[in-house]
Amino acid sequence: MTAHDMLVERLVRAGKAAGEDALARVAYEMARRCWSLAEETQARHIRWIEDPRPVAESLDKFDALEARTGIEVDRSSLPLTDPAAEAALSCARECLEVGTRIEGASPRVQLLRAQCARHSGDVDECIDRLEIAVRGPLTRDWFLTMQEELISVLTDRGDYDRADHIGQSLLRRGHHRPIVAFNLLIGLGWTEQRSRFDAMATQLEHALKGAPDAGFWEQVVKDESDWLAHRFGMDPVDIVRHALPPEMRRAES
Amino acid sequence: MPEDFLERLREVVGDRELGGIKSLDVTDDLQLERAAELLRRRFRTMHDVRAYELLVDLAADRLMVLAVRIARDLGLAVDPEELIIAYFEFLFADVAPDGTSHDGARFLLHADAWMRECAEARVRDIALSEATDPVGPVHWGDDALPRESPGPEAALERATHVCFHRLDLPLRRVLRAHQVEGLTAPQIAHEFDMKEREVDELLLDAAERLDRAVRQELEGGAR
Repeated sequence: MTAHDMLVERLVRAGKAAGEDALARVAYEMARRCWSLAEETQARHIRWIEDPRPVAESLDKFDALEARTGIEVDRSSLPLTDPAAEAALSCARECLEVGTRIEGASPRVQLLRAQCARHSGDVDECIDRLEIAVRGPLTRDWFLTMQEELISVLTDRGDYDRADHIGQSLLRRGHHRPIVAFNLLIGLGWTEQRSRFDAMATQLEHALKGAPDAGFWEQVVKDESDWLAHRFGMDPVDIVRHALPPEMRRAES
Repeated sequence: MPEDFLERLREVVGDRELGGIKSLDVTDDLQLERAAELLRRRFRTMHDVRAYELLVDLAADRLMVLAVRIARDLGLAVDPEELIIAYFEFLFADVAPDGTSHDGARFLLHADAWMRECAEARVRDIALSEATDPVGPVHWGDDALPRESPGPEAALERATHVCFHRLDLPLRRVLRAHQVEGLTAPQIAHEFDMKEREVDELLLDAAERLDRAVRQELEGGAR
């Protein structure tokens, strides 16, 4: 084999690998959009029929890369004409399968698969997937993201002890994020642990300062203040006063 | 030419597309350009991987000459092959609408401009990276692996690589030509249209600055 032949072989291989990577990216992007569309609506008929462009654009790229890489995808499993939320999730799962075939069980694919499972009501599968994922190896950011999702889904399921255990571990490591502190606060509410309210409310207040998603969590706290007040035997105004930084308290106080 | 590229081109694009192309000498840029554009367009529109493979076969050697030139001009101390790989990776994965692609541009011209941009970005990225970064991915979990530090040789190699790309272009250029390509001062002077004395001065200056920068980085990293 000549030097030219070896160079050509390397270049062809690199090009095909880049095409597969691109296909995995598009598949992931389609999955994320489908999941997001399914999540945005509680109704049976969702928006992607009215405005299918984002998914259709991805599909065009998908078609091109599929043809170039020779990686075949079962077209019937991409139900772009079915308006049901479940179809969107099914499409998302199928796309994630494609991603997995190419890039393996990458963190982003694992997380989205877990989120799809959670959204379609299979909480056990969601937790299993997240627990497998956090065993890593993961980068620090992915580890934290997975743990946050795990805390959220455990709290939703009523598994407050496990959520609390994971959340406390994160807080001890200095990972102050609103999603962690809020879910732990909800857990304390369900288990009526009034004695731990002050400490956790302080954690939440601390986490909200400067957080990029502070506005979202501010609203969540305000929306849930009546329920939290009821669980802790407090006044909603006190919930807001303890859990939100001063600049966020105004509307409710 | 050991292979009949014209016949292979005909097989891939067909007689009609081939049009007036009667011969194909890949050492002639004009002929290579025409053939490459046909293949690139066919791959882009028909996703015909044979077209991509033949394009690579036809253009690889010519692009290597361009890549070597670019690395030399920009004082980039990475294998020029990396630039060609990046370009063909881009071609294979690019499915952008035609309006945003390079349709209409000439293949070699586009390849040259693209690789040059890629090389400039590579120099910038290396120069901006941490000279004493630990190697390997960082794991962080309950059973996370400890963060490994590079050995002294790897640390020296990395610091040298980064500090080299932080040098000014004229210094980088002559030092690369001397150290990586093994050119002598007269050859460098000829290559960059300089006087030998200027080359000698630049080489000395570059070596001193690089040595000082590497030492500072390593001493800083050890503190």
